[in-house]
Amino acid sequence: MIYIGIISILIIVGYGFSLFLLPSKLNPYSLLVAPWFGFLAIVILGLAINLGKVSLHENIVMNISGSMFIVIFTLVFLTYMLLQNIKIVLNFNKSALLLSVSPLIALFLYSVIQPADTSVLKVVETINNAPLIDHVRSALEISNVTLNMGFPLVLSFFSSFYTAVSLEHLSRIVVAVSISLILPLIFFSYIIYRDKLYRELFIPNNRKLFLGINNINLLIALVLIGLSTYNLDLLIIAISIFLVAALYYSVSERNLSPLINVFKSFLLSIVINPIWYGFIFKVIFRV
Amino acid sequence: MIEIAIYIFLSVFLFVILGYGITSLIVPKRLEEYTLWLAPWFLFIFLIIVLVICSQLGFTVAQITPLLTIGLLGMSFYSWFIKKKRVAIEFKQDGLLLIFTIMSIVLNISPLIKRYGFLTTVSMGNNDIITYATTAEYLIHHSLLESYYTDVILTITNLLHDGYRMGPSILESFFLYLLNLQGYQYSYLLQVFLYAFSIPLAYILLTLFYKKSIGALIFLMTVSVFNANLLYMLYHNFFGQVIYSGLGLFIVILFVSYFQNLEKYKSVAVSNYDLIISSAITVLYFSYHEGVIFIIFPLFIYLIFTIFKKQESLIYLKVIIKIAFISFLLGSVSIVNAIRFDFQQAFAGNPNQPIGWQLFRNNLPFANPFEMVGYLSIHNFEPLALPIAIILSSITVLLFLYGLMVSKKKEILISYMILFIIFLWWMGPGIKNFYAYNRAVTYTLPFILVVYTIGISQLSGKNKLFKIIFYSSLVLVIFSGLKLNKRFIRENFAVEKKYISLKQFPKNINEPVYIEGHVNKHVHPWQSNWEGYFMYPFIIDFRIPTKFIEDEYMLKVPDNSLMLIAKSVPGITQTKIILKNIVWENEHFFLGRICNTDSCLIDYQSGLSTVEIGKSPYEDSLLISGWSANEGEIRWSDSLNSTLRLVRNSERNTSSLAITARAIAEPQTLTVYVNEEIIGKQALNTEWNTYEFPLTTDDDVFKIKFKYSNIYKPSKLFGTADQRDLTVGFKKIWLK
Repeated sequence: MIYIGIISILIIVGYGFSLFLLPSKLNPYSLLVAPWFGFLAIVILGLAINLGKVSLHENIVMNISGSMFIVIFTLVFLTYMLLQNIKIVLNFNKSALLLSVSPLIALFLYSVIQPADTSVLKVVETINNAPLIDHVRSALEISNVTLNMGFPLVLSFFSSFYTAVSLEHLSRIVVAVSISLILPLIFFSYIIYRDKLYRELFIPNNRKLFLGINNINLLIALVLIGLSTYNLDLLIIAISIFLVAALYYSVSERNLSPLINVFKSFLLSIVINPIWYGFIFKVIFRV
Repeated sequence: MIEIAIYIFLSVFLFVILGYGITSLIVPKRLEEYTLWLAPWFLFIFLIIVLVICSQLGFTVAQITPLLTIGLLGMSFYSWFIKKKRVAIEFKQDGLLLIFTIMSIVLNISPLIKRYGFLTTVSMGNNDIITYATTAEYLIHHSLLESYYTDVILTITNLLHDGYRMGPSILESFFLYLLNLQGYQYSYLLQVFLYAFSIPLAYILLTLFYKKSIGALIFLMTVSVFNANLLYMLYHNFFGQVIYSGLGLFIVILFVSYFQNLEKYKSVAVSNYDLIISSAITVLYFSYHEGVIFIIFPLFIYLIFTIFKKQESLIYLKVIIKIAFISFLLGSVSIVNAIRFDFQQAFAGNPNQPIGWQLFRNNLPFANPFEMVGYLSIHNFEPLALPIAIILSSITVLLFLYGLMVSKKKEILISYMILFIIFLWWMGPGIKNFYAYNRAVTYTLPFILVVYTIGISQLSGKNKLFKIIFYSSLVLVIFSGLKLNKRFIRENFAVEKKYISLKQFPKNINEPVYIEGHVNKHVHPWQSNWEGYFMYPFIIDFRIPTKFIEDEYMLKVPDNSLMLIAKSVPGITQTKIILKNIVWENEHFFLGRICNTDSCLIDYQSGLSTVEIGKSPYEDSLLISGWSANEGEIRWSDSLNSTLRLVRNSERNTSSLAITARAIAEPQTLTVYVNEEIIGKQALNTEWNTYEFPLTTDDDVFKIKFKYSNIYKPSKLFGTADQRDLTVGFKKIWLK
């Protein structure tokens, strides 16, 4: 049951975001990748909550904990998408059925997965008790380790719902679920490759939001924040790939807009969580 | 005086030239005619958003300001010369708005002009301004990010970390850098500008709900410029609340204008309105999140109206959610913190917690509707007789309700008023907390005045007699406003030249420096705050004292430490302690080494066997704890125990301890201890008498403790305003 529960929570938390952020041609596949957007939402909102001096286990308003706040926030967003266009929300591709096998795969994988490192579990315990920002302030220093908050935040989020499950156990389940969700992701990547939609990342033809920013810019911006919480090297590699690809498209199409688009995404990423990027720059540039 | 005029002129010039471009380029069409009055607020919102983001990222205001200034000037250039955008000016209307804005600025800087003649910070009593001034200065050369991993002083942490309220300070920081000023010089002046610039916004809001009317303009501007309740906030330097008034009006103007044109923006993903409103809400969270509920919650009440009226409730709901998401995207960290903080404060905190205000008046400190409008200042006058108060308040309420009835788009106004009335009722008759009630009054007053003015204007148009009566009543508002202003000129704290002289404080001191507040609990926080401001660094280092002595017979400051003491000034009681040698001094202060141990006192000798209140040169080195402030030649004990120490004279012929004392009320029994042993007990009456207690010990330093049987409140005994707890008054204590 816990596997189904975790995947369901990920879908609930991520579906609104995947509908909003993916290019319109990929809307039917939004449900398929919703769990991955769920991880993204948990990390990004979890980070904002922790930097706002509330841990995910702590109550923000009355009995609404940080974790519950994330669920409510994303549900409101899903409601917004329903109000925008109910048909898009309900019109999903059959491939979403792939998600139904994920719990079984996760159950199978569980036995071969080791619990997370004790240092990671300790970080989870620490941020369960007091928000991340308090530790930054008391430690008076920021390091690579302080910044690798992605997995601890996800574990902290689920541990507030499954309080009876030990952290070691939960860490194995979450990893098993993540691996089981790779299958839908591979299929999704195939669709992008098949329909040559990767071009849209650089030359978007999508919903303009504001000041020339579109949903793809926002998607890249949020993905960059997400990556930065897992590994700084991963962030640098992702930025480099985006830059090289944008440069390729700029040269091949003799148009600067792909490069400008990537720049906009970076900028947006920074605007969304400047404190976090401040810490990242401090570590990278040692300033 | 010239300095004040120059900086006022320079500031206004900057507001106009930097704000014009960005405003004219993004102001929605419906509001274009008010570009001039909206420009400062567009500028402030833009500056706060950009500076907070850059500062959180690790850049200092000094690094960002040149680029930002060039960018803003570029926008103004582009708008004026390339886009050829011009402000349409309605001579009568804009001229009057200008006159009232200038009037507000002149009225509120009057203490600077009349009393001080130079640019400084003044306050009617509240000490909050030190936080804003210090943080603004800190942010010029340090970033918000840096404040998270360095050990900054408490004044800065309070604002930046506990409340995430960096908006006003970072805005000030920008202008401090451009004008090359220090925080103490600009903190009050910037608030005066914010206050003055928020007044025309009230009129813009009125035109959206009613119509353009010169009569309404004059009435509304007068009740806003001279409203004693609003002036009180400014005079106490509630910076966050001052900026809240302007931002709140700005947001509501944008919302109302947006809803009046909602159909036009139905298919736009994110409109100008969405962006501007979201940015303004984010800035409100950055600046004064306590008041956000008053601006946001009524929108949900309005949503219910739209559902009942079968209007475009779905489009409306989408707009609200969209704005909420963009705001969250821009200020997620501050918003999360604010939601938690505000709910805790509202429901988990002590509702009767005072917030540092003096009781406005002993008798009925709650403003009734008549007093809210400003006809009678609760800060200057006693309450009216109940029947008169009821009649006048009823008339005021009826005019207000009439204004509500005749306004356009009244559902929006009613939504706001429902929440306002609930809050006022809850804080006033509900929990009877005058602090919270007055806060709610001042949060809501700008909007209440708009509705009230609509009622007045509509009725004046119908009957000439009403017109004469209503407009004549403004005399009362002006009189009340001027009365409070006069009081402010008379009774204020300022960062006087005395404190500013501490700029000369030696920079090469490599040890903790203690200030008077550390040894004398009666030193006003204003003095301690500003001494600290000029002497201590922003980041905690060795100069900030951390070591204190906990001993009931010794002062808290370790012996031989450096101590700053203000020199004696007529009318102000000086802290009288023994400084062994003076390391530095100027016209206003001594810096010396404190003598605090027994051995030091014995060596010092000179007159330490007697405390004659008001006359002994080292009174505060001898009277240690449980003593109220010096009142000339009398000092009361304000606790059930008080301690002191006296040093035997060199002749060593001491045989008794003598006191000249009286009780504040009977019964009162005094028990005297010397070196923790009882040496006598005495019933005291309310007459001055001298009593003697034989000494049995042979020490050099006598550690004396007085224990009292009863403690009384003068306010209860004599019906005065004195809220202290007192026991016995002393004129002289000496070894005989």
